[in-house]
Amino acid sequence: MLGFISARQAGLDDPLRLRRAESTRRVLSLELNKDRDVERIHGSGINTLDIEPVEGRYMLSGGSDGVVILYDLENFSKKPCYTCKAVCSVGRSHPDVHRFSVETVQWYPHDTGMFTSSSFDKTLKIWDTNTLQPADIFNFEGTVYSHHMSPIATKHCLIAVGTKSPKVHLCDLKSGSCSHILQGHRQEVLAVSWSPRYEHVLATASADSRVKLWDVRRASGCLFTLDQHNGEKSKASSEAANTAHNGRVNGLCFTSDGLHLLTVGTDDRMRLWNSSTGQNTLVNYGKVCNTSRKGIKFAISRGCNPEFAFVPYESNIAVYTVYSGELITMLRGHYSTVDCCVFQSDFQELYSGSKDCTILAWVPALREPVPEEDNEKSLPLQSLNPAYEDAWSSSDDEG
Amino acid sequence: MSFLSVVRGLGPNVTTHFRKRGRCLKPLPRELTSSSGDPAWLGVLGSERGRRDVISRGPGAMERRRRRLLADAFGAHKRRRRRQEPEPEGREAVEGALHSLAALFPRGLFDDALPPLVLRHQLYSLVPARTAVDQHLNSMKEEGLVRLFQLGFDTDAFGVVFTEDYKAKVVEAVAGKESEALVRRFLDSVLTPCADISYDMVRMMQDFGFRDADITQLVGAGVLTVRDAGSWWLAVPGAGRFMKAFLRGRKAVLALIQKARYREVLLAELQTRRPPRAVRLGLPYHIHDLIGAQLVRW
Repeated sequence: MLGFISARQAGLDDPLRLRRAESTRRVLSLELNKDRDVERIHGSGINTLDIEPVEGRYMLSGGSDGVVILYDLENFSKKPCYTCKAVCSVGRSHPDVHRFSVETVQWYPHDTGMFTSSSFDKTLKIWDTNTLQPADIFNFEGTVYSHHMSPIATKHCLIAVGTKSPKVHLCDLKSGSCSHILQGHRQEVLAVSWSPRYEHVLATASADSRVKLWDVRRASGCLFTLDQHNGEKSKASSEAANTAHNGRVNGLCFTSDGLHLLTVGTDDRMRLWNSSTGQNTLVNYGKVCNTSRKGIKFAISRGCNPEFAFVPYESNIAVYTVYSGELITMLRGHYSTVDCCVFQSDFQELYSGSKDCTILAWVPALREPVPEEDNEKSLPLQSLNPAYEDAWSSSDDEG
Repeated sequence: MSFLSVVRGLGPNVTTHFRKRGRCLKPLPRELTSSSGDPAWLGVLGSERGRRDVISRGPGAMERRRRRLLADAFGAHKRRRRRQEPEPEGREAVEGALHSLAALFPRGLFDDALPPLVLRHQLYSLVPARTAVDQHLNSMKEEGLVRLFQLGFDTDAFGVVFTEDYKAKVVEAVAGKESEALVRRFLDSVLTPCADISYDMVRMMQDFGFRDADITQLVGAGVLTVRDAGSWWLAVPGAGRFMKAFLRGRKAVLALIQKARYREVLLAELQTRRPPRAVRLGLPYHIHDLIGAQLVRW
């Protein structure tokens, strides 16, 4: 570590290198910490979490009882022991609360003044954060499984909505109505995600085992459908042609640079795709247990090298390296099925919500000396230079 | 070999942890972990209600991987010049694993009519880097060293056979019958040039010049199996007996583990046990299969 700092100081190394190395070290040491907790308010399973992209300070959570809660993740108390408190919530007593389970929440990508939530009661509600009143409500014919708004869009304010019907709706915030419909899937659409690289590219995953990429400016159909065999018809039986998985496709996530797409399916597989050509990179992650009938939301790290994917695996969270497919570790801590996880990239923290009504915060452990693997004659521990000891704590003290 | 006690019955807000003692930091995560240095235990995956024992592979591959990535992230160690040690994920490792698994296959069991058949996921238990194994296997397939077969019981399960063994056994199986010449023609003209798993009507008739009657004879000889109307899988003649014995044996070994106490079995002990009667392919073959297919956790 000191070597990195001195190299950066002397200009030998790019500043980004130190940042990447330290981020990776922190992600590899994620664990539960007795000093960090998230306040327990939900009375039922937590389906979705989202951290706002502007400051990374506020987190939204949506539960199976229709409740949406807003947490403040920042620690302004001077103590290391901190519980993330709920700032406000749309509880059961709120007149406009969702009637059934909230499946997806998302902050407005450009500021925290607004957030959106969609639920099994066939509505998508746009909320004003300060007054906690719905500014707009979109109604659909089928239950809404997932929605997403593009994080980089400047030319449009479309929200892509995946519902029980095979059509993907695009709702325009400016006009307040449903402006486009994308047709192509044959069964319910379980997950939608905009590309973080191109503001007009949308990926949708459906229960008919297909994942399609769309350019919303085109009038004709999708750009391409992902095929797990890469066009080799010989590998599949003919009814499995052009499918991304051998079962329902539950989750979608683009990598932070938008060049690759990860999908998980109920065939217990996770696949990595090249998002510009639609080719299966054939990275083998092994068995990624997936028994959810709805979507699962997983996260990919940002700013590390190699990038990690945090995937809910029954009641644990499996951490894989994205491009080589190795299972790094299983984060154990939840008592029941984990439904969602989000990664806070500024502090390399992971928050996960599960059916046991808790949100757990996984925080990088305090620094230990990097173990010497192959040098048996390494310095005995007690003679470690105090300069190597880390005086920082893992929780965040402001100022 | 000590187990930490199970933290159960406590409310979710109570996290038990060990106090910091000197340099030993880590607070205890909220579930049971077996202490490092344990011998490898095989436990059954599946319904995890009730007893949920977490089994780790000892100080284990995961910890080693983490440490290796940590060291790599910092570039802390200068790359020492080592002797040319074979990489654990290289091509030689995959070939070695294939040969050793092929040696496990009981040739005499089916009257020596079958070539040694290895399942692709068995390789994962010997060489843990799955993506690397897939890539090397694909390159070996392109070169014509091995053939892959769709075995039929699972869309993902492929059988791997060395091409020479396969050709030898097919010729043996068909020797003296009237379809012999046709099968030889098929082996030379179709098998050698293209490394596919299945063939469809168009290709067979146009590219290779086989007629309907020929194809029927090939199916009869066991070299092709019907996939659906107008396309066929490449097949190993007589593989039906193998599949039956394999599926029975797999079920029997899984049942063995399920019936054990706490649904887990020590690997060394399992290897020394007498195999049940249903297991005809040998216990080590099935153990590699179960580990590679991730039907058990070890």
